Amino acid sequence: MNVTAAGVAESPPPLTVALLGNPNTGKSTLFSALAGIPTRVGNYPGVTVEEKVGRFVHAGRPIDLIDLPGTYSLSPKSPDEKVAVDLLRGRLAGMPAPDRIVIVVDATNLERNLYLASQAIEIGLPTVIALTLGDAAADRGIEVDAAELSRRLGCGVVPVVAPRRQGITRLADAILAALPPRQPEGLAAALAAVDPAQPPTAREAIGRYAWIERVIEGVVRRRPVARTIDDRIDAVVTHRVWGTLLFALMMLAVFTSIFWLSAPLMEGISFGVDTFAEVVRGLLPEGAVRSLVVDGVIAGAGSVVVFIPQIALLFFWIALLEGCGYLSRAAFLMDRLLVGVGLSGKSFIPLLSSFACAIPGIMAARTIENPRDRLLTILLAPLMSCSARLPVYLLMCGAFVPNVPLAGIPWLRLPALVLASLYALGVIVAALAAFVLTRTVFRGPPQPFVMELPGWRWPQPGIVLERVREATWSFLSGAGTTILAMSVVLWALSHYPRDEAAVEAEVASERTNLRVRLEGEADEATVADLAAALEALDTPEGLDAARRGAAQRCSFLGLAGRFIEPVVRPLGWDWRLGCAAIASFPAREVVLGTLGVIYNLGDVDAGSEEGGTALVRRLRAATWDGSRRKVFTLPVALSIMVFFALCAQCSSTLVVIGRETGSWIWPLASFSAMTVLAWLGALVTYQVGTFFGG
Amino acid sequence: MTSLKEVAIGSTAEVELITGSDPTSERLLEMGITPGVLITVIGAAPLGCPLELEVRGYRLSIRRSDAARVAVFPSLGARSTRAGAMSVRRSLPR
Repeated sequence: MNVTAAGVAESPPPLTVALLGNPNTGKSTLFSALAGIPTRVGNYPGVTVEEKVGRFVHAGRPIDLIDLPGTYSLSPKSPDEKVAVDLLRGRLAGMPAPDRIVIVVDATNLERNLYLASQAIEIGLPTVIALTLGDAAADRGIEVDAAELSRRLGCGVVPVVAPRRQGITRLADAILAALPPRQPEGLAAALAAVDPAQPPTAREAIGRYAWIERVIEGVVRRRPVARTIDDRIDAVVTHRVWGTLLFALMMLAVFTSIFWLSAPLMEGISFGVDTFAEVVRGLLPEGAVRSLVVDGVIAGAGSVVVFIPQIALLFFWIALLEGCGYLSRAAFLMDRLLVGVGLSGKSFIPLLSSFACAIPGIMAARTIENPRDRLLTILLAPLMSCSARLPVYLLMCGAFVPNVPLAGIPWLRLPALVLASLYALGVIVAALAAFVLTRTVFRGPPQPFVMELPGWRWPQPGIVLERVREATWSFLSGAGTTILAMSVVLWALSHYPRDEAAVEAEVASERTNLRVRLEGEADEATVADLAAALEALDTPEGLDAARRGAAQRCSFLGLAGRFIEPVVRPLGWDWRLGCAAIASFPAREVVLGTLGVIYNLGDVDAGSEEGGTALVRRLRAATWDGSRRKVFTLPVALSIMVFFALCAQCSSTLVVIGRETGSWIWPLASFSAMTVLAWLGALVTYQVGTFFGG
Repeated sequence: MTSLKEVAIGSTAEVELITGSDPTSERLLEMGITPGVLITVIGAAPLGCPLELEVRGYRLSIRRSDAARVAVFPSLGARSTRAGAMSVRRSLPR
């Protein structure tokens, strides 16, 4: 870059170059080889199609490389393809047509790739063809005469092996030197020669392919290869038995890694955040500011960062599977299962991942090109029971579901059946929701499901890492900031109004309540529990815990819990449970902690043996205000579990839905619909349970 | 009229025409399934749908319902070119 004496950069304006190509042509690898890490990643205005731009300098000329979404033709069938076409034709708001087009053409699949290439050449912008995957083509006995192809197409053709950076400099030279192409020889004639009796949509394809068949004759030389490696891999991978088995193993590996492998990483992050919070707590004077910083901001930031291991691991797998060509085979194998509910096989991995956590699952829906299927998958993902719901299930099943064998089978016990039913419930409700939605809100003509099964390739480590980095970064920068802001708001709602008098009155009424119950109680175990609770109120820790519980109950969230009591009463819940449900909104995994605080236990680690037992004892002893009637019975425990199985009480998930759909309507709709579903489910569970079980 | 849906696994057929003029038909044509082209049915997913096809030297997958709109001339029988052993790979009842 030349810098004048005045210090003002004086360089030629950047050349904008659009990178166009079919999906699975090694376009991303070529992008990285040319421009390195993208300098700008965002969305095109008004659509949720990703815009990726990379800046590089070649021969003193800055070049902005725009990575267009992969497309098969210039008559778009999806928003992704429409963006690519509009940008090329200069019809995208605020974006002039590019100065150059680089068309990525896969040498192993020249015939079909030339369809898009010939359409793009006709636009008339200076064009270069990057002929990729020549090495893979050679393995299959395919040889392409690039010079002859260039002559027949009327534009430059540069063979490149992007992973090894072969031909990259030559390609960059060709980009700078590119001229508007001659119109391809014989194309217009071929299009005109098509039988006019054919429907207009068919004429374009018939004419173009007829021309392509002539172009490749003499350009492509095939050496007979007995049976390619691709065929051999494919024979196993799509085999009815072996393919299915391999698929199950692969999915097990994916799921295990995001469900269990991520756990120690997440614990490590939580530990780090907690340690940091304690250090800060020690540095700041006690008061509202300290609470805001520690419980609001640091805890909020922690709740964002904690999702990174799952997101990174899932996208690692997706990039790996996509890179080697297995992702489409997985969709191929699973398609039939999902067609029934109006989805396609591509929704399988996003939905499966949602059993670990809906957030990476929703983000994984980016691999679904069809916008309707993608949106539907995003909306169904939170219905899969995620790992944050598991502690609630385990606690309730362990404490309130009788541990009796079923049908006399010793190893089949009622709690296990309840647990399995909750997982099934999410899936069944999701299937029904999909069935209804595809017939109402998402009604429309059937979407084309014509999916390429690309050739097998080695995944590029650079591309895999880039994919992981991109997903993590887009979560942190996009959803992360909103989740953090929301955490601070929710912190304020659970800490204000700080009405000391109300808190003290609440503690006093608690004490009176316990005394009254103790006097009339006959059951020895309950007497012991009540006496212990009363005694605890006289210890400093016990009193502190009681104050914290009271403060929580007197906060805006607590008041909201009381306010909604009439709504939750038909579910068998008292207002404290209503509070806990509302207070778990920041993230479902806090619900047990919230229950601990609300029931005056202070901070308990419900996951630990000791904390879990203490919480169970406290919950078992809980009664309705001013009465001896227990709150937690089997029907109530079931209604709580059903509620949590179906509700969308997870602010981070809703933020990510908003981010991925680019609209606030979908998270709001999702929250409302799932809350109603959860309430109805809990209502039916409790009422039916009470009717049969008393 | 025979459709691609009825072509036996491992067999190759010549495409006669694509019926309909909606986005799905258009996409099938753009992907190279044009009148006169040879298509080999390589296999089917474990549950019978979708189909795995080979056309113009690459593999693609379409659902049986979409295969029904691809009219073909009567089957040319098992082909033994690229995917040599495919005819013995699977025989799925239709």
